[in-house]
Order: sequence, then C-alpha cells, then structure tokens
Amino acid sequence: MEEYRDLFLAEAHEYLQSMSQLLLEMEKKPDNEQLTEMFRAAHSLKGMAGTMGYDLIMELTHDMESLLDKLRTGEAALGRDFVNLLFEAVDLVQILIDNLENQDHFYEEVQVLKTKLRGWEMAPAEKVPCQNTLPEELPSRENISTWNDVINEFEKETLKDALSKGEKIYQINVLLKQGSLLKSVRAYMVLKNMEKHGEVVKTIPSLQLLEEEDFDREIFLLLVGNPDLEVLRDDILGIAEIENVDILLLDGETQLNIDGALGGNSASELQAAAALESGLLMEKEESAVALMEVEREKPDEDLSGFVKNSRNAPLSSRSVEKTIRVETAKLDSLVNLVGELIINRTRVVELGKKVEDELLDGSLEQLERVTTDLQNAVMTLRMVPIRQVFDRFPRMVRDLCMEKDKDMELVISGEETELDRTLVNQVGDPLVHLLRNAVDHGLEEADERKRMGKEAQGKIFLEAHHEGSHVVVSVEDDGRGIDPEAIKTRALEKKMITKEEKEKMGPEEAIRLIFHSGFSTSKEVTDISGRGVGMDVVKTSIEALNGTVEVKSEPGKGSKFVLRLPLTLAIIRALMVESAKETYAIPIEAIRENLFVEPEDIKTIQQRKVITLRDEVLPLYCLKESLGMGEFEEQEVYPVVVVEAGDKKAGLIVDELLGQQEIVIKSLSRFINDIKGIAGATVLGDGRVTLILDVASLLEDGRV
Amino acid sequence: MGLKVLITDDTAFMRMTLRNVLEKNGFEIIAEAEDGLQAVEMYSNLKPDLVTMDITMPNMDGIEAIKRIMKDDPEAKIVVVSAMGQKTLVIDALNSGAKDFIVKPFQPDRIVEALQKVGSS
Repeated sequence: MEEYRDLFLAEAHEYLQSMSQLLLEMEKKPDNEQLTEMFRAAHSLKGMAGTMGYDLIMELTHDMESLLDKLRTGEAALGRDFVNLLFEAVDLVQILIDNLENQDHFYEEVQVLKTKLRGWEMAPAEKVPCQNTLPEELPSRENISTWNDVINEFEKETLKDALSKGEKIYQINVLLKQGSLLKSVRAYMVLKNMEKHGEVVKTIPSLQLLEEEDFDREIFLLLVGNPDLEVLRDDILGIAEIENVDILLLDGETQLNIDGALGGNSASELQAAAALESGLLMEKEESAVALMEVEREKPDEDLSGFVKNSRNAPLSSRSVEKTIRVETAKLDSLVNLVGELIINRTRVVELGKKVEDELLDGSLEQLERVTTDLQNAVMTLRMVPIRQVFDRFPRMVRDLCMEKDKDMELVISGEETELDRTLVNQVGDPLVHLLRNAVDHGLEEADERKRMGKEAQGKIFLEAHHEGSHVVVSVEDDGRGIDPEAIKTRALEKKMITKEEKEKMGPEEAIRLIFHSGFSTSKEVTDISGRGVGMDVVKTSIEALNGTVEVKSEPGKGSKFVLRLPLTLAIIRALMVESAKETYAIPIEAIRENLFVEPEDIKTIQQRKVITLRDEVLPLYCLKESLGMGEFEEQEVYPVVVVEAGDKKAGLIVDELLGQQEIVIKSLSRFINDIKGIAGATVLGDGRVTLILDVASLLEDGRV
Repeated sequence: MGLKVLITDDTAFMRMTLRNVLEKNGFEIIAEAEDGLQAVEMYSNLKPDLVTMDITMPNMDGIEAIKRIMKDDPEAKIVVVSAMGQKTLVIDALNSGAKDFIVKPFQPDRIVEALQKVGSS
C-alpha cells in the first residue's frame, strides 16, 4: 500500500498542478479543450482517491466534477467567482493530500465546501450567453481523442484540399505480426507501397516514432486519394510480416472536423481513439514521404510528445518526459559517493606524480577523464527544470492581483532551464518575495498607468536561462520603477547614510540601498519608493546559495531583479587559507578581493581593528580570534581576504593564502551541523579534512 | 516443381538452414552463391524465380549484387535476408529493387511467407 500511496501522491500532485494551470487558462480564454481536460483531471483524481479509500478527496472531486458539468448545461458560466470556488476546492484537495494521515480533521471544511459546490448558482450578472459548453459526450479516459486532436492546421488544409478535389480520406489500420524485427523498415515498406495509391497525411504513431521503432504492432495511417481498395489491400498484405489490414472510409466533415464540427463516435473514430490510448502522442510537421530519407536529429520537444504508456500518464495530451522516478535519497547518496571518488582520485593522482611512471601516468590520466565525465553525468541527474518553482506563480500572481485589485499578466519563459534540485527548493521564497513586491509596489494603479501612457494591464516577466556555470533568473516589471532620490532621502532619515554621502551617491548605488537590512520593514517606504520590503532577506538567502542579486531600475519604466545562482551546490570553488596551522576553505562567491595590509594601516575604532579601503572603512577580523583558535599576533604584513555577505563586508586576517581549488561540500553530521561560522567540510586531495567557512555568520559580529 | 530459388549467403551454415527450410516447404533450391559476385553470375545463367540475398558478404556485397541483378533483369524477385541492426542497409536494398526483407535469425514460417508473397506477386 505504501508504494501505491507514493504513486498516488505523485500523480495527484500532477493533477492538481494541471488543474490550477487549466483554471488559469480557462479564466483567460475559455476553451472546450481545457474544460475537457479539467474534467478528466477531476475524474481521474476521484477514481484514484476512491481506489485508495480516501473518501473525502473522492467526495470533493466528485462535486467538482458535477460543478464542471454545469458549465455544459449552461447552469453555470465561467466567472471569477466560479473559478475562485474551483480554486478553493483544488486547495482543499491539496490540503487533504498533504495530510493523508489525518484527513478527518478537515471533515468540516470539506462539508462546507461541498455545500458551496453543490449550491452553486450563477450571479445574475454572469448569466451571459455561455460559450463553454462541453462536448455532447462526456469525456472519459476511454475516449480521449480522435484524429481531430492530432492533425494540425497544415494537415487539415491538405485534407480539405483533397476533399475539394473529390478525393477521399481513408483510415488504414495495419497490424504487424508478433515478433517482427526491424519494424521501422516494415513501416517504411507500408508507406512506400501506399505511395502510388495516394498521399499519407498522418500516421499514428508519428513518422519519427515509426522510425525509432517506438511502437508496438499497430500503425494507423490517414490516406487521401482515390485508390482501388482491393489493390491497395493486396499491396500492403503482399509485404511480409503483415498480419492484417483494415481500410475505413472516413467522413471528413463529421469525423475529422474539417468544417468545424466534431462528430459522434463512429467505429473508426473509436479505433483511432483506442490507438491514441495504446500509446501515443501529439505530433506536428513532418511529411509522410520523408520517413527514412531523413536521418536528422529532431528537436527535443518532438521527443517529449511521446507518451510511452498513456494509462500511467496523468494527462496523455500533455507532454511527458521519458523518466523513471528515483528516490532522492538514492540520488544524494550517488552524488556523495562520486564526491568521495573525486577526492580519492585526486589523492591517487598526487601519489602517482611522486612515482613518475609513464604507464601509471597514462592510466591515471584516463581515470581522471572518466571520473570527471562521471561527475558531470551524476550532477545532471540532480538537475530539475525550474518549472517546478515557476508553476505555482501564475496562481499566486492571480490571487495577489485580486487582492490588490490590479490587472496584470505574468509572462514566464525559460521554465525548461535546469538547476540543482536543492537550489530549486530554495530559490522559491526569494522569488515569491520579488513577485509580491512587483505586484504590490512595482505596479501602479490603473489610472496612474493610464496617465503615464502605459497599457492598463501591467506585465511581470519571469525568466530563466543558463549562463556559463550559472543560472540566471530575472523578475522584471513595467511598473513605476525605483526612484533613487526617494531611496536616498529614506536612507538619510534612517541614518544609514550621511548627508555628504547622499550628495555623492550615484543612482545605482542608491538603489542598492534597498538591500540593506536597516532599510526595509517600514510601511512608508513602500509608499515612497514602491520597493524595499524585505529586500535584505532576498539578498541574504540568495547569497547563502552562493549566488548574487542585482537590480536595475528606471523610474517610470520599471525594475528588473537579476538573480545569479550556481548550477550546483555540491561542488564549489573555494579559496584555501591557512590560519593557526589549520586550512580553511572560503567559498569564492563570498570573496571580493585579497589584500596585503601593512601594520601601520590598521587603525582602531572603538577597540576594533579597521582599515580604510578606497574611502571605505572596513572592519578587520582576525580569523584565528574569530574562530577561537588563537590570539592576534604582530606580523610584518597581514594577508587579508575581503569577504561580503548580505550588506556586510569585512576583511579576514589569515596567516597565509594557499590558492583556489574545487571542493566537494560535505555536510557535517547532524550533531554538529549548527556550528556558527562553519558551513560544512571538505576532504582535500591529501586526505585532510578542511572546514568551509560560513562567511555570513562570521560577519554577524565578527565572532563565532 | 516449386519455385526455383537461388540462395546467397557467405556462411555455409545459413545456406544450409535456408535450404532445409525452403525445401521442406516446396521450393526448389537450384544454386547457392557465396558472395554477390557469384550471385550475379548464377542469376544470369540460371534465371531463378526467387533470390535470397545476404547483405554483408566478401567480394561484392548484397546491395551491389541487387543493383546488378535488377539491371540485368528488372523483373527479378529478390528477398533480403539481413542480420539485425542493418536498418539503413536494408532500406538501401529495398530502394535498389529488393522486394522484401526478413531478419536473421528468422522464424522458418516468416521466410516462407515472404518468399511466397513475393513469388506470387
């Protein structure tokens, strides 16, 4: 049962996600297809919950289904309240799923919502002509689709043309014999033999899948022309290993929806539907002749259109990747082991250098190459598309807009961009923050927008892409932007800057003030600047991930926040330093520069050491002291590492700078994982364990 | 007497297997070629009703042999008997004029079916 539950959870989550998405789409632009799919999602969820014995979920989804049905009968129309109610139901189902163990606690809520769902009546204002009728037949899993759903506009045109020329459309079902080999070539022969009878407009499976032999035994073809059916039949049956051929005449208008109407359930249509069930796809462009001649690589999107087994896929018409589910713990342990391997490899390679043996060198080089490839391959296993985070934002922005009574659109792009799973989990909150700010403060009221000559509907662009070994995520709005003067005034009031500094400060520097911890929290700030709520939190959390945040803004035009994150957290570049005879690693992202400081440059302010660096007073901490490993000692010259975290910056005095290298981060065991100043540990090539410094906590007060 | 077949394969084992299967099913094996060159020669001398053609062979491969036989006799009925995983070669062979193909290791009824279908067309 445990296994079933995991599967249920995974699928239920997908269904809920897709329901949210569909609701959003429907609200924007109602469409039968979405309604059908929504219906199916509710229906499937109901069935799954029923099987698992989750009665509350079953009851709830049943009522959702009934409510959706009312759209068909015209008893309900798609209005804001309607969508809200369905969202409410989706949310409650989510809560129930999150609390499978004690669902009964939510009994009351479920009953209340059920009453609402059942008692739904349209507000009079919404009694407008309803365009959103469901198709006559209620959709069920057994009848998902018809040719109509898989032929594209171009193919439809071809069919139309053919009809107008007096040609006919045939569906030809070809069944290969069990155990046939080189099926792709068989399919090729079938297509080739059909050439003289007419034009093959579409195949199920698609030509690509046929070519890849990604199909079972059945091929369905759509042929136009005026063939002699007997000859056609013999020509196909004349091929070896063909078990059976069925030829069906299709009626273009009713069965292929060529003139706009979707027809009833003819036998052929049902067969096509069955074909779709047994393992299919949505395919586009490709001409029938091109099957084998073309050995080009297809773009990924085409591949993802293939659903190996649509019964296991929650929504067969959505693209589903060919994937297997693996427990994340297993993946983590794999990454860990590879980390160990890399460390050991470095040790062996170092030992090998001492031996100076040519044969050994050669095989060590080979070992290095293979392990590096392995490392890269394993790292990609942990990569997930950022879509997982982005998916919840359209809903969130919509709700926010409702709340604030604003009109805006969230435009998402680059959601395919992949990054480390652990990062995906942690980048969500900062993004929520930025999006909230954009809606809350960035975007003007409608009348202000009008005055500025902007479109009434505001826009927020959420974008992600790769840049070298980084992932860049940006949140951009076309709102009122940030006024540097207002920020400066505010900062002066808060005594964060002096009057003098205010005069000298450029606009960019001024805008960066919003990341200072002292700046936010006050409500008035938002009224003046439109920005600044908890920005320091965003900066700190991104930096904790070894990332950076930048902001660009033009008053009146909008703001853009750019987050730059490393692809992975497991391996980082670090500067190795020595202090009190110990080696420490400092993550390179936290380091601004390295200096050598003469003793006479060190001043003391309020019993603390400082230096002046380019007109800036920089506190100096002795790493030894900070870590409680020793006393500050007089030296001729001090190596200093300038580090930055959040809005704090300081110099760390170390004994020696040792150089940069890649390190594999190992977390400390849970008994000691909460030590201030230490982020983790790593093992060096020579086997020594080295601690990785946590700059942020070191800078909090210079002490741990 | 049944249809006359020329078997082409570079391995004696495969030639023997084909011969046994086909003779049991009423075909008459009139010759065995060990490579493409022999097959072309034997075809023009013996004019068999059907030819089975391996693809990878020494001296002259099956594709070239098919091309030459088809040039010699456009009505020739050749069935490719190929090893697994030779997709592109099989397609080449079909485009060169072979009528059908079968994949080794074959099920006896499949080669018989293929030859009967091609032979009766």
